[in-house]
Amino acid sequence: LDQPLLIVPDKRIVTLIYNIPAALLPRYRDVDFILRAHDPVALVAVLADEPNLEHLVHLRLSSLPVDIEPLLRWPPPAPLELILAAPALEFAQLYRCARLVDVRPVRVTIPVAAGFGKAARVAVALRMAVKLDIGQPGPDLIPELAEVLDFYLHQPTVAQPIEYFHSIWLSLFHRQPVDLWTVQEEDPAVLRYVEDDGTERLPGRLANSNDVVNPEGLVAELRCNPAAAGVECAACAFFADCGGYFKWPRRDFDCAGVIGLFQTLTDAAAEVRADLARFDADRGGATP
Amino acid sequence: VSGRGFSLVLLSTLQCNAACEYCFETKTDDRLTLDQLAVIIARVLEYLDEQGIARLALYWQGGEAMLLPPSWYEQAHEHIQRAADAHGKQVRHYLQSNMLGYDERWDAVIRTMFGNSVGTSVDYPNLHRKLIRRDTAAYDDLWARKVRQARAAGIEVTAIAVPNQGTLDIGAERFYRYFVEELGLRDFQVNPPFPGGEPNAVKQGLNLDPERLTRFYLELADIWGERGCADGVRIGPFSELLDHFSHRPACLPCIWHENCADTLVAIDPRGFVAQCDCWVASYSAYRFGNLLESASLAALLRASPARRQFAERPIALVEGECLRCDYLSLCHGGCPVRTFSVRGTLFERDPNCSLYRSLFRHIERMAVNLAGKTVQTELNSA
Repeated sequence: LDQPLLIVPDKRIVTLIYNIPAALLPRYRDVDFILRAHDPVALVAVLADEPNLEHLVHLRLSSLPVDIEPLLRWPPPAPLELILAAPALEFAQLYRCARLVDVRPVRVTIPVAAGFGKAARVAVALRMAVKLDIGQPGPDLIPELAEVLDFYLHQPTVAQPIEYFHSIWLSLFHRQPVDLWTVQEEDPAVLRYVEDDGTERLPGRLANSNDVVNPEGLVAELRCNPAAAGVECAACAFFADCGGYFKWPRRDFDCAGVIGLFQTLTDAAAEVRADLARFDADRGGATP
Repeated sequence: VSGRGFSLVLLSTLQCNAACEYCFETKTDDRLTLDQLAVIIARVLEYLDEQGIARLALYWQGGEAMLLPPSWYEQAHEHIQRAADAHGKQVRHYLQSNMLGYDERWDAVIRTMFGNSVGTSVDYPNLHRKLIRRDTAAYDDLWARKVRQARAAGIEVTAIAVPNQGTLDIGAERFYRYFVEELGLRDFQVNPPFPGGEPNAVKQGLNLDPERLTRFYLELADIWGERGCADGVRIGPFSELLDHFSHRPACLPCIWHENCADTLVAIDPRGFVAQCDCWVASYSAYRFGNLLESASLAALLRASPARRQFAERPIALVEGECLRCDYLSLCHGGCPVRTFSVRGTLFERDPNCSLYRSLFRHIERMAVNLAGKTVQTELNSA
């Protein structure tokens, strides 16, 4: 149940993590970094010349590779993130990357667009973790999200995390809130995205936000003042786990669909807790 | 170098001392020489170096592998060990033989090279396995005598069984008793038949009624679950599936790998390389090339249009019905050669799809029930 996140959450206490293009490695080698490229050859070429990989958090391929052999041969077992651009078209191509799982942890980041569920199914079947790049999903995407959530919760052959479902389920199960900013690796206190030209910007959905004056404190401030995220947030039962995440970038986003997903996760966590409590009671022990 | 592994099915000869009517291999008189072996092993080890692969599993098969003498294997073993050491690779050898040629001269090499274990084949009832110009009874007599002799020498004998029409007629109970109680086998696997290689009348009859075959498998699994499982009897693929569904490490058979083209090739004594033994011996159009005529296994595999088709197969299948299957993560569309021998194409699901799904569901339930019993036992003892 307790699979670790790809990015170690503790890092945020210490330092920022920079998502950098491979060409800028010399400039960022002394801070924690995610190294990205479109092509495994480019990635491995840069890594081969770099003596100090102490700060490498993980590798990221911005598009599905045609030839994975350079990454099979590059020995350090650094985790790898594969980014899908068009999941409904690319899902089957994940089979070309199947062998990468034998040499390093692999996570596939899948944009939530029509047909994304196919990519989630294939990734999980290939023993790859999944992160849904969920954006602000419209009502048309909620049924497919609900289907993938059901697949994650109830399909016994699923043995990989599908984020954000996985971490939020764990948080609800353990009653230890973890907000979506952290789970989705978009907490501006933790991450910066460095453009190919060297421009630094806030991560993910905050990239084009002009109203974030204190990025390092944003998530903490929202936690203290939910209404600052959105009118609905102040009374939302799931704010502790959401942290107002779904109210960016469009503050008028209607949360009805994603609230339904939170409710399903809450019910599933409660069901397992109840099962375990019943087991403990039958055994004559304490409930968890 | 990573911990990844690679499997090589190496056919030391295409000669055979039996005349099994359903054999999927086209026999020839070819035998691998030690010089040819040295070339093949050198190129395979170079390939492992290039791929960053640390471990090689070498499956020695034929034809009939024991038609080459034990001394040949002793020399082969020495050479391979030396070469592997020079490349920093681990090699494990496995022997698959019909055992008809076994005698005590094999004991030393079986012990040192093959971990004192031999895999053989036995069907019950035996309808198709025959000695040359003799019948099935003669085959069974000789086989049983040789197996008894090997076990008396302390050799572990495992077996592959292929069900036939007679197997379905006698039923799972009788089949189980024959293997476990009469033969005393503690580790065997039951492989569904397929009509690979040159067509003949017997192979046409291998197309068993799917419902009866499925019922046989499920009943056999139940009998094993009740009587053999807890007692350490292993029956493939039940044991591996039960491990898998019980969240224990499981080594599933090659038919259910994500893509067998990633992890396995077969090489015959002429140096031909193909996906597995049936392909290399019987489907020349699907060979990848000849390693004795090519300087590099990696280049040979990269350049092969046939291999590209194998690599593309799961991609094509998952764009179809396999995507919605609850057991995609377990099966990935199944075995290419079983598909090809029945459907004439690589790009369809394994013809045993329905059997596999029933079996997966059945063993999954078995794992859940076993887990439930474990919990109940714990509760009762609390």
